[in-house]
Amino acid sequence: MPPFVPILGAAIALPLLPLNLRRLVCVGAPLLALGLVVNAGDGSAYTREFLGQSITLLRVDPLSRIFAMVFALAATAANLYGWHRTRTAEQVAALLYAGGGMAVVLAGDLLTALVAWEVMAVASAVLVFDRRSARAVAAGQRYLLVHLAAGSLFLLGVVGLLSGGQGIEFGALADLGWPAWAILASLCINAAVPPLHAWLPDAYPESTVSGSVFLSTFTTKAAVYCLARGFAGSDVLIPLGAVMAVYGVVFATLEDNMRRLLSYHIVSQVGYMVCGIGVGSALALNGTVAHAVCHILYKALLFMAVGAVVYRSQRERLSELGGLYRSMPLTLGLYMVGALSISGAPLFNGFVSKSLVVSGAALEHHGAAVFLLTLASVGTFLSVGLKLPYFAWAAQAAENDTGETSEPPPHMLMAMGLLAALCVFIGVRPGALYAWLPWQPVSYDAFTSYHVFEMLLIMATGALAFWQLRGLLTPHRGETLDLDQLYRRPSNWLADRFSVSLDELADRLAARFARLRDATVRWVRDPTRLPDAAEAERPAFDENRARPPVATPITWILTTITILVALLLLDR
Amino acid sequence: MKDVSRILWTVAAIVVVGGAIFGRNPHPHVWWEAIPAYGAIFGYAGTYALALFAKKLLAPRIRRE
Repeated sequence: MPPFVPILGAAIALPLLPLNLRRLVCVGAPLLALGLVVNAGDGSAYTREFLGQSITLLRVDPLSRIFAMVFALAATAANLYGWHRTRTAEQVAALLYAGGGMAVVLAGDLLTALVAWEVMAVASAVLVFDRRSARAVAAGQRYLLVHLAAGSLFLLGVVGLLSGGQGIEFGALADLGWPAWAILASLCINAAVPPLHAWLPDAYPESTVSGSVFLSTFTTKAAVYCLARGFAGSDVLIPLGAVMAVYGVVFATLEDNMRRLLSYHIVSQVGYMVCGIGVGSALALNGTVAHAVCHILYKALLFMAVGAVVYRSQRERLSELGGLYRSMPLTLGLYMVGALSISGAPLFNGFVSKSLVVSGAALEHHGAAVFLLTLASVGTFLSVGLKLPYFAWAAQAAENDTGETSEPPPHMLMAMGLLAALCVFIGVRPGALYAWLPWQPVSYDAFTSYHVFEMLLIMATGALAFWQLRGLLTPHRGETLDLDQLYRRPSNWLADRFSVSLDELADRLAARFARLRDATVRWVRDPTRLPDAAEAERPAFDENRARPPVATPITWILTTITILVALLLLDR
Repeated sequence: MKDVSRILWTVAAIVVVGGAIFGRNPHPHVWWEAIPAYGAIFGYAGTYALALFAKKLLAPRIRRE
C-alpha cells in the first residue's frame, strides 16, 4: 500500500468520526504511514497507463524514502501538538496537506507530482484561512493565488515535455529545454527563492498555531526534494541559494512578529539546501537532504514553542512580550534546543547537517557561497538564538503585560519534547541520520576540532556583539515592506487599468435593467408613444463612450496572438 | 548588566584562545579559513554588520512603524 494512502484515507473518513477518535486518527495515520515507508523496499509500484503516459504513483528509493519518513514523523508530531483542535476542517486540511506532501515525494512521474502538489496547495491554504481573521483570509487568498500560479507553471512544463515527446518520468530535468525552466520557476516559487518568496512570511504567521507547524514542514521541503531530484548540479542554484540564505536573516533581524521572524529563517535555511543542490556533489547533496531532515525537526519545534507562547499569551510580537521565563521555563528550554539546532551549535542536529552543505561548497571551491552561508549562520544565531528568546523570555516584560501566561497543555509539551529529543539525538549520533542519506557511503566527520571551534567562536563572539547591540536590536511594532512591492504595485496599476470591479459591473447592469423596465412600462401604458419615449431615453452621442479606448482592442489582439503562439509551440 | 558583559567577554576570550590553538583548519579550502580563530571575526563583525545594515540602512527605507 502506498504510504500516503492511510493519511489521505483518514482525511476522507475524518468528518464521520467523533472528536476524540478524530484526534487519535490524526496522530495514528501518519504513524502508520511512517511504518509503511520504513519497511517499503526500493522500486516502483502502482504504475498505470493514462492518456498514453506511464503514471507511477509510488516510487521508493533512498531519496524519496528519507523525505517521506521525515514528513510522516513531522505530521505525527504536529498532530500531537494540535490535539486541542476541535474544528474538523483544520484536521482534515492538515492530513490532506501531509498526505499530499508524501505523495509528491513518492511520485514517479511529474503528472502525479503535480496533482499531489495541488492537493497540498489547497489544503495548506485552508490552514491559513482557518484562523478566520481578516488578515488571515487576505493572506490565504494571496497564498492560494501564488501557489496556483506556481502550479500553472509546473503544468506548462509538463505539457511542454509531453508535446516534445520527452515523457514525464520524474528524473533529471535540467537539460530538457524550456519546459524544464518552467518547472524550475515553479519550484523556485514553492521553495520561496527571492524575489518569489514573499508569500511565505506573508501567510505562515497568519495561520493557526498548529497550522503554522504544518506549513513550516511541507511546501518548501517538497520543493527542495523536487529540485534535488530534477535539478541537481544546476549552477544557477548556487548564487540563488547563497543569496537567499543571507536575505532571510537580514529581514529576520528587522522583524517584531515572532512567527514572521521564523518564516524568514525558513527562507534562509532553504537557501542552504538550494545552494547544496546547485553544487551537486555527493557531499553537498547529502548535506542538502540531511539539512532538510534536520530543518523540518528544529523548525517545527521552533514554531511549536513560539506557537505555545501565542496560544497562552495571545500575543505575536516581541515588542509586546518579555519576562516569560518565569511562567514558561519549560517552553523556553525546548525552544532553545530548536534555536541551538538551527544555529548549528555542536551536539545539536543543525551542526551535523549544515556543515555538510558548507563543506560540500568549500570542496568545490565556491568561496563566495561559503562566505555567505557562514554569514547566514551568524545571522541565524543572532535572530533565533539570541534576539527572539531574549526579548520574549528574558527581557523586562512589556508595560501592558498582565503576566497571565503558563506552560502550554501536556500534548504540546510532549510534541515539542519528541522533536527536541530527535534534534539532540541526531546532533550527538549523526551516524543515525547519515545511514539513511541517499549517496552512500557517507564518510564525513562533523566533530573535528576545527568545525567545533568554528561554531563556538561564531556563537561566543556573536553573543557578545548582540549584548552590546541589544538596544539597537530592540523590536518595535511595525510592518516590513518586502520585495513583493515590486510586483504588487504595478499589478494594482494594471488591475485599475484593465479590469472593471464587480461593484461597478453590477451598477451598470442594474442601470440597464432599470432603463429596460421603464421603457417596458411606458410601452405597455401607451404603445403609440414608443418612438418618442425611446428617443427621450437615448443618451447624447459621446465619442469616447461610442469608441472604446485603443488599449482594449490591442489587448485583445495581443492576447489572441499570445495564445496562438503558445498553442503552436505546444503543438510542435 | 556589567556581570553579563564580563562573563561574555571572558567566554569569548577563552574560546578565541582555544580556537587559535586547537581549531586550526589543516586543509583550508578558502583563504580566510587559514586565519587563526577566523570564526571570531565572522561572529563579531558579522553580527555588527548584519545589525547595522538591517537597522540603520534598511529599516528607515522599508519598515513602517
